[in-house]
Parts: sequence; structure tokens; C-alpha cells
Amino acid sequence: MEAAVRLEHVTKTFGDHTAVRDLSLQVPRGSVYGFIGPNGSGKTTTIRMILHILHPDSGSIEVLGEVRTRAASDRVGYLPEERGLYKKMTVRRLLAYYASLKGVRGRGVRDDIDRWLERFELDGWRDAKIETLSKGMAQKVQFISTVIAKPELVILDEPFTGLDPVNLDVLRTAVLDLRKAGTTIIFSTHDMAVAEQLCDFIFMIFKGDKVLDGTLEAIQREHGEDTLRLRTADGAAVLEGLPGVEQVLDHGRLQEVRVEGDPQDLLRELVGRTTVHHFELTRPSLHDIFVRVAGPEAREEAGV
Amino acid sequence: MQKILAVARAEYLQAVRSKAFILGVLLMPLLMGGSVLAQIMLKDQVDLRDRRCAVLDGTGELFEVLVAANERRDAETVWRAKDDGERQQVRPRFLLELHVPADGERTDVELSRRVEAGELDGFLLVAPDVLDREARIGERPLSYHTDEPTFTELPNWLGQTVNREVRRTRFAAAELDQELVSRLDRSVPLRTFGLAAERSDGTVEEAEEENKARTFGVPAGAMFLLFMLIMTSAPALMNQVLEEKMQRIAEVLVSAVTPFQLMMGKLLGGVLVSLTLAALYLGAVVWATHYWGVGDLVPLSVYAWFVVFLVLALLMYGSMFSALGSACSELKDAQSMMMPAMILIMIPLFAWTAVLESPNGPVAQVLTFIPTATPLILLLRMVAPPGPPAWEVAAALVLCLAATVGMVWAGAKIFRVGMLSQGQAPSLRRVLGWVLSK
Repeated sequence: MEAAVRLEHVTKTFGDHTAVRDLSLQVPRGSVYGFIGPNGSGKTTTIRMILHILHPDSGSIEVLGEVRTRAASDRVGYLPEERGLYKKMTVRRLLAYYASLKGVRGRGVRDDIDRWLERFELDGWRDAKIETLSKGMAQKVQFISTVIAKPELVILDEPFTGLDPVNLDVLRTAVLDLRKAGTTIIFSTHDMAVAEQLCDFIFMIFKGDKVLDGTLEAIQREHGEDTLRLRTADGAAVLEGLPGVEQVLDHGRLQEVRVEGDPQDLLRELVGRTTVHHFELTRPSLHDIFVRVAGPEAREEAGV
Repeated sequence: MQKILAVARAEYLQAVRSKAFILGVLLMPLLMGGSVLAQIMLKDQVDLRDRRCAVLDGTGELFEVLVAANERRDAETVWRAKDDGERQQVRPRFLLELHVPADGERTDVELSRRVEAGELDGFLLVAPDVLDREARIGERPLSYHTDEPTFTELPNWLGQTVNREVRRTRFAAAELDQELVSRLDRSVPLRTFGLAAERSDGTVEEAEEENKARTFGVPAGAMFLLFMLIMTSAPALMNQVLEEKMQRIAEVLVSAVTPFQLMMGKLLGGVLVSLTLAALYLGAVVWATHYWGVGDLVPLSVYAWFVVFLVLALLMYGSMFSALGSACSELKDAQSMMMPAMILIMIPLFAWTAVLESPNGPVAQVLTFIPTATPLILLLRMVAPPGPPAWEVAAALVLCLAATVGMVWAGAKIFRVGMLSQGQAPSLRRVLGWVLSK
């Protein structure tokens, strides 16, 4: 498959700090690629290099077939993590401006803007100034501004944070529709559940190093079927001191347990101690893999 | 280039549609036209109330003179014949009364009381020595007292009338013909002219008389208008850039256009806004000068130079202010950096009188070659006669152009790094480092 984005041995340092170290990555066209990793691990730096806002110290970056130039930038849409819109502009003029920055203008754009506003139930706000919009509405406008020029590659940095469930659904559907239309999507997120649902590929970066890269299935397979989902009458306390229990991730009513050896032994042991409501042998969740790879340090930093 | 235009177009439309711009455009003619209109309308609105004035005549002779003069005034000045033959009052009448002091009264206190009570508008005290033939007069020969000193018509008239009489008596005492003396005493006027020249056909181009409006008014007016236009555009760029940084718009923008395109677009937008304003204002000047029949007061070349210097100054200051805005992350950092930048622009304003006094003197020459001062000072010098030598104009323009290009280049460098940097305002050293980085 042709790659929409190809990074080869890319390194970027800021002073003494290495933000990204010897990173190679291929984002296939038409895929949804999730960038995960705790804050400060190099996600945004990687994204900025793909956008040619930053230049790598070494290595090469190819975006939509263009190497080390901004030639592709008109075909790339970007939603930064820190969002911002011109407060004093009206919704429609702002979107038309953002489209014109990508070299797209005219009647077609106006129709597209109206279509998107209608879809996001913002058609009543067409001529409202940005400063009068609620946070959720502004975020939707920002999303439209990212995709209004019909980019082939869309890069979304934490697109779903701060959205209520209804708006989250609207936006998620919009992302999936883009994918159906053949758009390549890269997005970064903290939310492992969203990543699991949406992504064809997962890329995880930690302290500048690539630690995971591949399809969700491959990553999960790599980490084996060693995870138990468990619900018992006594919760996490009952698991203490049991043989084979390597790590317990306590979700309250549900525990995720990594076991060494035969899970059946553990089941027998448990039945002797408490009432077992649920016992499921499964692949580790992305969340669990994330924590395993990044370790407790990342858990704290990322707040997961 | 297309992207620069897209940015410029948006900036221009945003600025031109803003309330501040429209208000500024409307307010200017309103202020100018309004004041003229008010003057015309108020000219005929004279307060025609009678003014009452008591006179304490120490000489015993002057009151009669004043009364006689007042009658003449009534006949000649107070009334004016209208077109339909009727008379219309155009000035207030003066009602004079002779005050005869009672025994032992303080006349000034007594009369002041009457002014306060509204019976009088003022009173005149005439000392006995006013008509002294040898002109030996005391400290307060004539004193006019009033609670409304801003009404000057009455005291002026009193002073003139008394003095006319005083002079008449003095000349009479010295047995001199007053008319002869004043004729002999007439001064010889000095008038200032430009230079005369002989044309190729042998005729002579007469020297024109100096016109204060032209030699002082037009240069100063041109310079201040230029300054005003610069100030409406250039510092605003800093706020715009700062807003884009503070509102986190910068990152989206630089992912779509290069920082250089963004800055050039902004500069171009700013230049267009100012040119729009300039077209309006200069248009008003053209119209006004022709309407009043003084079109040759402002030669066409002045308009052309004005536009040239406006564009140069905007590019230079605009890139400076954009760079400043991009280097800061907070309003208060920007404000503290604003001061030195403003002073740089305002240097010509501190020196303009000195430059006009001696348009080709050392102060003018030195300032001309300081690139940040060149646009304002050179415009001033080119409009004020005799105008600077051609080599100076050329050299200063080249220098200024080079400085502008340098400023845009350095500004773009700072802009490129600054636009994405957050946190505290960087030191001058770091900013210079950005300029020198590749």
C-alpha cells in the first residue's frame, strides 16, 4: 500500500532534550492511524514535523509523495491540540478564510461550508461571531476548518477532549465518514477506548522512542492472551497473594489481571476463596499495553 | 504569492469592515467639515444683549468723548442694512453711564457690587492723569473691571476710543499735525519672495511671494498625515500577531502558509488599509484645495512622494511590529516592547520644527540618513522649499529601501521562530539569535 506519510530515521532535539529519536513510521493511505503516548513523549513534535512546521535534525519525511517541502501542505488539514479561532470573525467568513489559505475558494466552498454547518447543526450560527459560540460549537467549527479544503491527509491532535458525548459521537462519525471517502487520518489521543474503536493502526511513542507500531490486532497478539477480566464478590482484595498473578489493574467492580502460567489454576484457586461472577480470558486492552510499556511513570503523567 | 494575497485579502477586509475603521473614516470629515460648518453657523449667532458700562471719569472730559463715539458706533457698526432695506442688529449696543461718586465711597467696591447684582456688565475707571499733556501717566491710568473678561469687544472699544482722544490732545498740545506724524511714522514693509528665473525664451518667470501656508503648513500637514496613517496601521499589526499567538491560531496558520507568507500577507494587508485611508484623505485634500481655489498649494509630486514614503514606512515599521508581536506571548510583554519602538518612530516629530527652520541643515541631513526617520523627514524636506539636493534624496531612499528589506527579512526570521514559541518574552539576545539562525 502506498504511504501517505513516511518517516525515516527522524531525530529532533531541542537543546539537550531529544524529543524524537530515530523514528521510522509509515502511515498507509486511507487508514486511521492513532498516535498514543503520555504528554511530552514526542507526539506533537512528530505531528509538527509531518506538517513541516518543525524540521527534523536528521532523517527524511515524505508527505503525500512530497519530500522535505511544504508542497503538500494544501492537501493536509490540521487540528492542533491548542485550539484557536479569530474571535471577531463570523463563522462563515472564518471558514472561507481557512479554505482560501489552502488555495480553495469560490462558490463550491460556500456550499461546502453550508453543508458542514448543517450537518453539525450549526446552520443557525452562520453569521454569528466566533466569540458568541459555546466551547463545543467552537470545536466543531474548528473541525470544519480542518476539513473544509478537502484534504487528503487530516491530522487531528486530541480532537475529542472536552466534548460532551453527543458532540463526540457527531465528530467520531464525521471522522469515520472521511475515512470512507478515502482520507488518511492521523490522530493523537489519550483515550485508549477511542483509539481502540477508531484506529486501524496504533503508534505509541514514549520519551521520544517508538514503543508500539502496528494494527491493534498485531499489537494485542504480540502481548499474548494473558489477560483475565474478572468480577468477584470481594473485588481486588481477594487477588492478593494468589500464585501466578503478575499485575492487577483495578477498575473497581472489574479487575484486569495479567497471569503467568495456567489461568485455570487461578480460577480453581479463586472459586475456593470467593464467588466468581465473571471470568474471561482475553487479550490485553490497549490501556493495559500502554501501561505495561510506559510503566507506572507514564500512568502518573498521563493520568490514565 | 497566492497565499500572501489570501492573507492580505482577509486582513484587509477584516480591517476595513471593522467599526473602528469606518468610524475613523467618517469622523475625519465630520471633524473637519463640522468645525468649518460650526464656524459659519456661529458667526452670525452674536449675543446681542446690551452691555452696560459705568464710567468713573477722573478727567471730566473723556465721558463726553466716549458718548459721542458710542453714537457713531451705534450708527455705523451695530446696525446693518439688509437686502430688503430693513435694518438688522449685528453687534451688541453699549449703554454708557457716568458714575458720580458719593462722598467717602470706595468707587471700585461700589461698582463691583453693581456688576455682581447684574445692573452692570463692567465699569471703567479713568485716572485724572490720562490726558496729561506730557504723557506722564501713573500705573493704572485706565482700568476696566468685569466678571466676564472673555467678552473683549467692550474693553477693546473703550481702550481704542480713549487712546484716540489721548493722542489727539497730546498732538494738539505739542502743536503737531497728527496726520503728518502718522504718515511719517509709517513703517516700510518687508515681504519675502521666492526666486526669479529667466525662461529659455528670454522672458522672466517672476518670483512668487512666500506663502506661509505653503512653506510651513503643507510640509507639516503632509508629515503629520503620514505619521497618523502609519500609526493607524503598523502598531495594529503587533496586536493582531499577538492575538493569533494568544488565541492559538498561529499553529493552524503556519501549517497552511509559511511564516514568511503569513507576515508578507499581513504587511500587504496593512499597506492596503493605509492606502485606502490615504486615498480618502488625500482625495479630501485635493477636493478641498480646489474648492477653495488653492489647488497649486499642494503640487502633484507631493501626493506621489507621500504614497512612496507611506509604503516604505509601513513595510519597515510593520515588519518591526509584527516581529515584536511574534516574540511576545503576553500583552504586557508586548506593551513594554512597544515603548522603544514608538520612540523610534516619533523621533522625526521631535525634530520637525528644527528641520523646517533649516531644511538643508545638519539636523535635517543627519535625520534623513537614519532609515527609521527617513520617510517622515525626507517627505518634510521634499515638500518644504528649497528641497534637498537630488543626491541626498537618492541616497536616503536607497538606504531606507535597504533598511526596509533588512527589517522585513529580520522580522520574518523572528516571526518564524517567535510565532510558535510560548512562555515568557525572550531576551533581546535570544531574538537576535533567531535572526542569525538559518
